[in-house]
Amino acid sequence: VSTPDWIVLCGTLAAFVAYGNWRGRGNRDLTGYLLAGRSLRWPMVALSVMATQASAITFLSTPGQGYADGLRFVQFYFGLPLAMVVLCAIAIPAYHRARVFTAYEYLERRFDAKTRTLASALFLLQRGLAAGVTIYAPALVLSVLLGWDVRWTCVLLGALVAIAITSGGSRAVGHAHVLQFAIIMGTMVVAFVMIVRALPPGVGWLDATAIAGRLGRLNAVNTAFDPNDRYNLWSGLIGGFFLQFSYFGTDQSQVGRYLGGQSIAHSRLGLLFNGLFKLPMQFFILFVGVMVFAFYQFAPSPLFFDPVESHRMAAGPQGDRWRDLEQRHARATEVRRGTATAFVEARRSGDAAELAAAERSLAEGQREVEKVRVAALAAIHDTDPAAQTSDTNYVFLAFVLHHLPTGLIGLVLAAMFAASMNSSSAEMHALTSTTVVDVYKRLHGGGTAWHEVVVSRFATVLWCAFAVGFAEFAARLGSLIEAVNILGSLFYGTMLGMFLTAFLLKRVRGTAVFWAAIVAEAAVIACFKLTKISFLWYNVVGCVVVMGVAMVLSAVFERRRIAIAPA
Amino acid sequence: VNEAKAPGTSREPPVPDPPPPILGRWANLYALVIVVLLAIIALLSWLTRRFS
Repeated sequence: VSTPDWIVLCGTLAAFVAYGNWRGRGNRDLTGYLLAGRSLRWPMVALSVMATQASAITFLSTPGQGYADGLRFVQFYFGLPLAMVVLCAIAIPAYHRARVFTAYEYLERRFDAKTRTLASALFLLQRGLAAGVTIYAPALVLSVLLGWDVRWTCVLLGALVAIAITSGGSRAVGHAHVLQFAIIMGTMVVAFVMIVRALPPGVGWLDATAIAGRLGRLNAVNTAFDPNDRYNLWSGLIGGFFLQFSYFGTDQSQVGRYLGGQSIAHSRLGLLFNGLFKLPMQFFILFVGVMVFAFYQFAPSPLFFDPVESHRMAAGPQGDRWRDLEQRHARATEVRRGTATAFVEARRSGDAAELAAAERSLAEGQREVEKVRVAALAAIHDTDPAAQTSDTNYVFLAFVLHHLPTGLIGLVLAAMFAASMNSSSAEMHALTSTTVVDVYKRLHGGGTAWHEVVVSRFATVLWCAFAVGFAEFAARLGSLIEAVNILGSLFYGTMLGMFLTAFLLKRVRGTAVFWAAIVAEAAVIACFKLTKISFLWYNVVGCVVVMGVAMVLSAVFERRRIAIAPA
Repeated sequence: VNEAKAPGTSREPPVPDPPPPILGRWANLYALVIVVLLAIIALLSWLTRRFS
């Protein structure tokens, strides 16, 4: 990373914090600090909602996923527009009319205090742990690629987030989200153009797309129903719907974003915009990864994209084996370059027989490279069975660092930091809201408006410190992203069931839904422990069990109440 | 007892729902979102078949 890149990186980060503080100045009460005074217009609600869910690991990992696995991950988002429609129809009016600060406050008004406590405890547990990983995961990748100490990278990210929120509150988060999101997407578009320009002369993006398609990277839709297959049309539409509905409807990091909207209409428009544009956005980011894959058909690629692990292997006891694999890989990629060039020429010639032969050679060339990759992963596993053998998070940044021009590298790094700040700031803000409104004010009873803002700022700093501290521990957890995704799905379904019961089942009361939630959580944990179904379906199970059991218990309690009532 | 003060329930007087800026009714806007989703899925299905 050169001096101009450092200047761009530091200047952009300083601008994010300064801009957020300037736009968020003058918070005098809790409504201003936690809900931006309920003043946000729909474009800001939309971009803030989209920025919250787009963490740095999304921008690091998604192109890598496109590179390794093609477009199939896009199906995960098929349920999102449906979830947005249902949320707009039932959840937003309920929250807005209740004038609540947090989603869990609504549960107390609808049911009782113990149901609110259960839901806010589930949220604080799940989101508090996830916040550590949200900071740690991108910090790990950035520190590996930049040669920084991961601990100090976490501290830097945590400090930037704490400064941004404590001085500006929700308004600062919302305004900074818009700026950061614009820079991230602008950077991704520029990166896409640079990838296409980096293709060899005479090879266009349509040729690259054709190569990626022939090698199975344009597998966007799979209509076969298989509950054990993580991404297909049905798991995306049904499981994805429940997951997205749970996340946007019950997770305060999202609810807090659209509760800041100046009216029901602005919150609705923000969510519908998110439902419409998130899917094309994810497709585009995956497609950037597919183009990186096509680019490497014509250029030598690393045997393993994680440079620290590669270096460790080369310097370790299996160094000779690793160097032999690197040589085999270099030869295989050279052959692959020839087959890719021949394929493009065959496309140009229009000769069907020549094209069919070129397709077979192309596939064979890729298979040879993948064979060497499999052998390399086996070598890593043999050296250290606990080592991480997935390098998808490193693919995109490795490409950026080696193939993009000076200045743009700094901008991409700033965009990654911005994305990390986006999701972390929304998480910290949500944890602050829930801690102050659902815990502190209930126990302490609140105070003056200024006192509550000071307590909120203190809570923000504490949560940032907790996240940085837990990031230290997260380093020992192994596969972080998978752990957090599964952790979220273990709780989201139950929480969604509680909220849907509140919105839709008017006769059900607090005690019934409280015990139904306990039963549902046990059922979800049983699914996790005893079955192999994809984690997306846990959300369906939790939600359905809460609503079903709540209805049954409600009927039982009602019958008993009538039986013991005096004549 | 808590339900007596529950917001958004039928016991509250209905609050007027402001219309969306386009298409006149929220239901129409929701239908548009679903139509766009179906169009995207159809486009991606075509892409999968065309290039694979």
